[in-house]
Amino acid sequence: MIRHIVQLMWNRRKKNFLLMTEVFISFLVLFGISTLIFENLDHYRKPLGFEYDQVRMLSMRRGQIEYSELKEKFQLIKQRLKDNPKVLFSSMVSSNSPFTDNGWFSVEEDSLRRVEFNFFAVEREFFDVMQIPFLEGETFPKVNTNPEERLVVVNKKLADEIGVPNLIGENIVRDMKVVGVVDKYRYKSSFFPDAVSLFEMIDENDTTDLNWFSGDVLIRLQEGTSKGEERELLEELEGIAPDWRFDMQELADMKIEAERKLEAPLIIFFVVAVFLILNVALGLFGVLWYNINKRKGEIGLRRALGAPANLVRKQFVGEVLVITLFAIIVGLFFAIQFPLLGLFEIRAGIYALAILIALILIFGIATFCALYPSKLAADMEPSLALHEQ
Amino acid sequence: MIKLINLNKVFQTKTIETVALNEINLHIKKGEFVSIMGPSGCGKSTLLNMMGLLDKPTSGKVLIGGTDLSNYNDTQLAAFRNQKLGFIFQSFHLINDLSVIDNVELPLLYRKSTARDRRTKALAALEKVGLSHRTTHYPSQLSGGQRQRVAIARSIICEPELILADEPTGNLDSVMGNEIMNLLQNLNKEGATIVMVTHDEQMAHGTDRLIRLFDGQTVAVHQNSKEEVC
Ligand SMILES: Nc1ncnc2c1ncn2[C@@H]1O[C@H](COP(=O)(O)OP(=O)(O)O)[C@@H](O)[C@H]1O
Ligand SMILES: [Mg+2]
Repeated sequence: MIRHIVQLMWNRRKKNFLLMTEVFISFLVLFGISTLIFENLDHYRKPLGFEYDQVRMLSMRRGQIEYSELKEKFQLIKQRLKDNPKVLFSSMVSSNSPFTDNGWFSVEEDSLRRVEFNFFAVEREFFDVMQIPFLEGETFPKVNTNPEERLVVVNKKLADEIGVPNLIGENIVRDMKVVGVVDKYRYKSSFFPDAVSLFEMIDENDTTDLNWFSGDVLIRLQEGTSKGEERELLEELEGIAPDWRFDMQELADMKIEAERKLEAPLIIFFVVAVFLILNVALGLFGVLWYNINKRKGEIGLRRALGAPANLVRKQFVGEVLVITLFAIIVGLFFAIQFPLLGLFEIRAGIYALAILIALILIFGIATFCALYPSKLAADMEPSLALHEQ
Repeated sequence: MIKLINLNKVFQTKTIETVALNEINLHIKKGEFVSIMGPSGCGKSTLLNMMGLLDKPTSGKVLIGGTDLSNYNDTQLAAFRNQKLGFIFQSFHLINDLSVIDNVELPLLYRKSTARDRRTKALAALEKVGLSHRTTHYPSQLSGGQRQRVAIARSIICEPELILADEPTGNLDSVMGNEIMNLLQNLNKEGATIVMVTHDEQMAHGTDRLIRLFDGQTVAVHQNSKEEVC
């Protein structure tokens, strides 16, 4: 019987082409959505590579200012932070702090190699502020004794990409010398994977490039610091530069905010997906309904030849499953290319899970849509074979 | 072979009630070739449906081979049709998406059989109707007469005791019609009981007995051109 149905559907493949195309496309869409969901869930449950709970981002907005005055004011602010017992560590940083949605992608090139990375300007305490552990080496020294060299820390992903075994003390590109290697720094949000990252030591004496002074400082506060104490600290700083604007944000809040921004596109995506699946379901349902009405004579004939009603029902459900199978064989061929070709840096396991879920969903939808029309077919009287037209 | 006892069939629709068969009593002997004639709408197909167990009578009994089938459920009836009955229709009822041989094998799918067994039997049946050279063709590639021969091959593949034919030559010209009639006569000689609805007087006279139907009632039975009124 199964062979008969496969044969029949194969012979009817031209008539069922549209339906198969629809199933094929929805399979790929379901596969895509599942991959995305599982990939993001996978990211979400993995560590970010840093601790943000006690971290605040202090941002300062200033008017036009001379470099000498900026440096002077800033030294005062830093001193005040050091003196405050509630502040454990602090570091000036470039404007791409975690969860800010700012990125700074950079490329450096010399005769030896070309290196691309996410660039972060930070101070030596940065790794303590963020509690980023070192895999090799350590953070920057208090002062850079050799102004010919720029001191950098890279993350493991970048170190792996460069591919040189002991990187510590090596110049990776031009005058950039590695002092340490850290593991991960997934600064965008829990939904983004780790990317190649490079942290350069901020040189306060570099007057040519004021980029390091974004006005952002990351601060690790002692656990149990009250809101009142935070406000006191802010007021203290405002006393140093009354014409600047100071603001302090919790990284935890910024993380929630950053992840909320992903909600809208996700919802739209979800609605589109649901709409598509509904469309497929309706399409399947409609085509089946139409087919069964057009095949009344055939149904009557099969009943006359000895098919019991429940076998007719099974046949029609079987036909839908075979059509789905045909479409999915083609769909699988495409879906399998993703892990095989290693597209999008997604693990094969995630793809496999997504394929499985897409298969279950598509066969579930197909079966569900086939049930009612097939019941109609089974309920038809065998005498239909003798009088139609 | 077939006994119809006080058979009535009423079709009930929202607006009207049609009495398609009215108190039919009929006995068809084993090995008989019976033809049924009558104006359009007089209940010929309905009568054949009753004999073919495709529809249930409103009242009365259908006995085939001595078996009372009133209490059979759907599955039992289907199995009975599969084993004992063969059907031939005016419009052939071939499945266009299946090749000739796959069409002929169809009844065997509804019983236990192996693929090899189905092939062998289908080839033998096609041989019998003179179409063994057309097995891989599709119905659309055949003439009307050839299509009906495929349908006959399908009806005999299970070696039925009773063949029910509803205007088997109705869609065919007289040459093709005669071919089909010859085939049916041969099957009858081999032992099959045949009931055939026809509009063709000449063909009806080529059978053992002719039953005339009018308004759902048997009005006359001609036996070997002897006439007796019921
Ligand atoms: N399924 C049905 N529902 C309602 N009326 C029917 C149905 N089948 C047949 N009839 C009616 O029963 C009568 C006999 O029909 P039928 O047996 O097909 O006639 P014939 O084959 O002699 O032309 C007709 O009046 C027809 O309209
Ligand atoms: Mg009729």
